[in-house]
Amino acid sequence: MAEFQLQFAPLSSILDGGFWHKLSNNKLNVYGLDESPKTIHGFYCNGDPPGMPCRMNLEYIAFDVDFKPPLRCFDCHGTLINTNTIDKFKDCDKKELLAMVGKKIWQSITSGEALSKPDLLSQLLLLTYADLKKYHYYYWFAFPCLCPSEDFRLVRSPQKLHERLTSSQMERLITAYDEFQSHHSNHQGYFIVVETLDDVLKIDSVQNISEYLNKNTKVLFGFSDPCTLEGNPGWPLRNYLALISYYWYPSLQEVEVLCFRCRIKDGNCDISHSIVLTVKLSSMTTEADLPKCVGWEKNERQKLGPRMVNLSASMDPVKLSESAVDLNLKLMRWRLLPDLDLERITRTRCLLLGAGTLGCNVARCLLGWGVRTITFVDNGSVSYSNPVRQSLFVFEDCTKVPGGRSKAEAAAEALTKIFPGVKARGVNLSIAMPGHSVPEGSVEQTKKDVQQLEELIDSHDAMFLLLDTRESRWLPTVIGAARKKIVMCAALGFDTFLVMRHGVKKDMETDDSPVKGQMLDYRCIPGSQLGCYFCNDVVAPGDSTRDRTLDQQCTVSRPGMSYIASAQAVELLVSILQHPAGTDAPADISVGEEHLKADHCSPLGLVPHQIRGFLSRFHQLLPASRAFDKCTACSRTVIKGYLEGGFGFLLQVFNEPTYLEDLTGLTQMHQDTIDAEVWDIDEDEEFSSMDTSS
Amino acid sequence: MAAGSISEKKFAECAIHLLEKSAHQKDHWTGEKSSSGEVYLQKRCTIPCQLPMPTTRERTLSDSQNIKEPVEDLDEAVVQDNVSTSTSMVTFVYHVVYNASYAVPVLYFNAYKPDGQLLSLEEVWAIVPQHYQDRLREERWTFITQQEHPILGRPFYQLHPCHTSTLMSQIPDTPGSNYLISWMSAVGPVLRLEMSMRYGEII
Repeated sequence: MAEFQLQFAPLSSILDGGFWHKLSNNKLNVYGLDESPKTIHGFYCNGDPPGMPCRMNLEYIAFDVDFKPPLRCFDCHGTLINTNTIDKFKDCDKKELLAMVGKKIWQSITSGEALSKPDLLSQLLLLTYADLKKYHYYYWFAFPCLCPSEDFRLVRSPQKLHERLTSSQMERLITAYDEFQSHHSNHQGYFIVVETLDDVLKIDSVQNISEYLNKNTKVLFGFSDPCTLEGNPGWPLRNYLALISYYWYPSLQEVEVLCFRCRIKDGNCDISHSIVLTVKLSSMTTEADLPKCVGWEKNERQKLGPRMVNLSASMDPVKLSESAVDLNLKLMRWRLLPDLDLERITRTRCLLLGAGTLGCNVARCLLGWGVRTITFVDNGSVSYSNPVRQSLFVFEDCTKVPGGRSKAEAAAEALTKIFPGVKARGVNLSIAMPGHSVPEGSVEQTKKDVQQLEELIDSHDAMFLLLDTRESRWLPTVIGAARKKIVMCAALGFDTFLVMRHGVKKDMETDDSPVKGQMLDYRCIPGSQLGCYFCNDVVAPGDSTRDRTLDQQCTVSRPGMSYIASAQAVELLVSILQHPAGTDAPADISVGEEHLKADHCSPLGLVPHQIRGFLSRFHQLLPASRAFDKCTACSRTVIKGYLEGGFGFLLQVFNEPTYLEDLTGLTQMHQDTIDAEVWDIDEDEEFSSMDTSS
Repeated sequence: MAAGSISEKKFAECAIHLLEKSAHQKDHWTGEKSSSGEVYLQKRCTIPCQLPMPTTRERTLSDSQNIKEPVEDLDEAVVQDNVSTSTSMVTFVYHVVYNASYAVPVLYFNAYKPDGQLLSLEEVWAIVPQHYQDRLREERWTFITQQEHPILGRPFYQLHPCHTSTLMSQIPDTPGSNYLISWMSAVGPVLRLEMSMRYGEII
């Protein structure tokens, strides 16, 4: 049979997250800017099932000073070069680095040290650059090997061990192997196998080889082989052959090599798939100071080149908190509500008008549901009385800036501190109000403010009205209705609260009033026909702060109410988002408490129109009411006026206290009511007079 | 102790027993001790594992940037058609830690790609064998969540312990049986953690 070239299966690097954690730690706390070579350790094993590549593992323990490979694994000495910059990583001389480790191996061979400590033949080099801001790691492994002047050759085809040895011989070999390894603290990757004429099998250290050579014994050079291929040995043999050639070539021309593979199943060792090679040695003498050295690892594209791994998902604390929040919510889905559409909630961009007690608590509750975009609008600053009730503020917010920090900005910053994954923004903005006339000089500013509010509403999916006056809710109600956004409204009295969703009309062109002749279900109102915050009022919003005393200008309510109302407002929004009909989810009018028995039509249950709470009785009602065709905010007339008249229309509303009532027909309605009352009285009088006269 | 749960002392006894059995049959369980003295079991293994999606690779350095490749002499002594090019491997690390509030052992695990990247939860689910996926839909004893490891402080996946005692209360406590072995042979295979039959032998 002809000779053919001996080819080795290369090693593949296998890292675990712990390795990168430890490297990052060391870079920050130990190495600093020190780029000098550091000692690390890898390990390999010889027990893999068929089909597995040869692997070199590096783990958390790679940095241990007293490194001990895991059970039945073999130590590989490593040199780590961690560069401070990506440029250094790219530009450093790769050949020189490889030669640095190659020289170590060569010295251990020529000095004889590797005879007594053959594990020195097993070396790796790791070049890294750690971008600890992005958690990107650039790395490149080399498993340096010294090459002979002419490649090693195989004299005959590899032989399977079970073809060479009987099963009883293999049993004895396993016993001998265990016996040999038990004398060492770490498993030895290189050894010799001695076969005597009287069929004794023995395993011994390489340095004892002279006891057996030239006697009536057969000596095989054995090594623990991580390779699983039937026709090739693994990488660790290369430097072993270099050592063997250096010491025994040309006196030995051919050697037998046992590629020892030991698979364990149910506690039993199987070595039958090990292979025996007959290798023709070659000269290691060289005129240079180092034989040819090879060994850089190929990357995933099978090119000699570095790799990069992005570990931000498992190492960046911000990413970790994001995935932890998501997982927590997913747990709810897996365990209780398989139909819950979390994605729908997460991607809902929420605009919070008002960053006071309601705004703070609504924002916190939205975070809990995984909402990622939250924008606060407020024109106030944090005052001394705020932090105790407004859960995103602290004392420092009142003192840091004279007069206190902007509420919207402080709230957004606090939210980001709680959860860096949130996109929180604070906008310092005044909301123009009907009946609060705009002075000549402020018209331009007001116009800009209105425009900014419109843009904010456009760029969000849901809006919360959490402002402290009734009339400040008017403008956002109108814009929200015109843009068909989800509008949630929460308002507090002293011990009563209101939480509601505004009806989202399907088409502004159709009439507000129910279609004539259509049978109405009195117990249920479709979401598109529900009223807004202003629908129940027969007076237009005006200046409600004008005649107030000082204490009325602050929110005077039982402190717990804000938490209750905020939580209900968020839960109501989530219920809308989870209902198959969305904003058109019908609302039960809950007459006779029927809502307590009604079937759930969405994973989270009912979607009421309003929640009215009475804390003095710890009681809640869930009324629903239709949109009012003369509503000063959401009626067709007003929306049309706004859509067609734009800022000019709004300015008229701000400046003329009666404009809205005139426009919607409320003035007329008031007049009719008065007339009717007068008429009624007249009639009564007439009737009674008639009565007395009879 | 409530049905299906065990005390910390009993956990330690079972763990020692399991380690003896592991050593006896050359399995790879090790007992680990944290710097603060907490004890847990650990096993690692690397197995060939085809991930459903091709591993999403960030652009590599040399794709966009000019890297000085090593001037390396041609090395003909390398197996060209190597299995490493086609086989992807996943390294599993399993930890068994005692949880005092549930009074049950908890299985923590991480699964890494060769470059050290953690498998995402979706990828972990994708490598759960199909017949277990079907079973998981029916049975509620396993939920995989990601948690900070109680001892190491790094993120680990966890089989949620809330149903462990329910599961274990259905397994009779016969003399010679080991709580940890019974439990791990029930839940382990879901996560590619195989327990050989020999753990059932009485030694």
